[in-house]
Amino acid sequence: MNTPKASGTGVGRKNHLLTEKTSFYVQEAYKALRTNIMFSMPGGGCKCIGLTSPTPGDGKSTTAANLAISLAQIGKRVLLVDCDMRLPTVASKFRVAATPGLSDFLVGQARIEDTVRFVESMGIGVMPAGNIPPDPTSLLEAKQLEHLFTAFRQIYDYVIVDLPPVTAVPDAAILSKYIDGYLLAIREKKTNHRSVTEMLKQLRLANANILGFVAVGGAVGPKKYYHYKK
Amino acid sequence: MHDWKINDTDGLQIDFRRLAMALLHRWYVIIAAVVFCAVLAYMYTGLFIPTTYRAGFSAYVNSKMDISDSDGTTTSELNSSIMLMRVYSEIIKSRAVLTKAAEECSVSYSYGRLSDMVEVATSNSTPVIRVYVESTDPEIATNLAVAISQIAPQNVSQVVQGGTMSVIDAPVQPTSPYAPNYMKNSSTGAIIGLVASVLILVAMELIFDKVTGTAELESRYGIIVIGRIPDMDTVDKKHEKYGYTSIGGGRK
Repeated sequence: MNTPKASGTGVGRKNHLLTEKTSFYVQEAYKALRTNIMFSMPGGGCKCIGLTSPTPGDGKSTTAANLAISLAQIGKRVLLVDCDMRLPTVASKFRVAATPGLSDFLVGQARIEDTVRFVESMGIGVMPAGNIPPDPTSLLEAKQLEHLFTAFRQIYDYVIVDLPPVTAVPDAAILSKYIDGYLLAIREKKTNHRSVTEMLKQLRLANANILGFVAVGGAVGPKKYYHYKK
Repeated sequence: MHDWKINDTDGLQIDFRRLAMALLHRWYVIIAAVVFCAVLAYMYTGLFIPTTYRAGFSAYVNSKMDISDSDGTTTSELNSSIMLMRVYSEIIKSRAVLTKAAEECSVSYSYGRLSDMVEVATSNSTPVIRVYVESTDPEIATNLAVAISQIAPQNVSQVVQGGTMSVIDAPVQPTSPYAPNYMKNSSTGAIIGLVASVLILVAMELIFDKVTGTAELESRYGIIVIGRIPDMDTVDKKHEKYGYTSIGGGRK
């Protein structure tokens, strides 16, 4: 697929994306997450991983973006798709054009090739959410989405899907038929248990496969990690 | 797929172990509340509760009372010490006794105030009455107690046929305050601080109910924590050492 390239100039630290200047502990944390996911999803073929959370602000978009970058670091072909068509953030994180994107493709106003941008500095493909539609939920039930994911599975090793919060809208559960495994972002000392319980109920109704929680924002310091001394 | 644990009830789920751990985690808040309330109670006692002195006497009362009806015959012979004690108590605290006692002591207190100053303690098992007089002035307390001990027996014999009241221990001027009890009040303050802080912490834990750690997530929901990402803004960079940091391009 010939996708437009984006240099991704200026992408990095301010958007909390993984760069060479990212803290050692953070880099190692994402490597550990990457490794655990790969072991949780053995076998060949494309893996489609969805990231969601109970409520907004739990760190799922940043986690999705950095997971995609971390997978690309080991030579995987990775696409990051922004399926949060209400509050999209992927385009701004990677400093790429927000449109055309997923929504534009689903309404037939753009081709796949026009919606996916390759961010050279990060080594991943990025598909923004596109123009914000009036009814994202209905759009996600379109038949074209099935074709889209089928096409992605032929090209990429991993498709990371940034989903909206589960308790806010049903979009995350609707996409369960395309998602091989869900990662649930939880922010320590912020996310409350009631919303976690509600999220799990909705995902259970959608027969979602949950890979596990990703705890975001915990304190980590030298006492809790051993490290190599130069 | 994981075997999730979800509480399907709509009611509040209380994990007592978690609550206990939360309280232990905030032990310093509880200690601070206990100390603060104890000090507050001590200061309140010193500033707002006046020093009070107590003088009193004990007296033996007879235990039989005859009551005659209008025919002049005795209708019943009451041998109830409880009723007798109550009668004597009423007599001692009557306006006739207290106002007369105040006159003899040259104090111009109202009957209401005098009644509040005097306490009569009775016993169901013994025919002994104890009368206490409290005042901020130890001399007034003593003088009133002495006056009551002299006036009350006369009124008792006038009101109750065959009734007598004999003083056992005469009033003695107190040399130390009866109230306030600093230790008792401070202890009460400390207990209030303890209870209030525990209740508030428990309420906060139940209401806010936030995720506190990975172990809690795994034990509560039966789902593993597959990744733990530090806060990028606060992660400690000072102690960073050499590590693998290569960021390279991937494949399209």
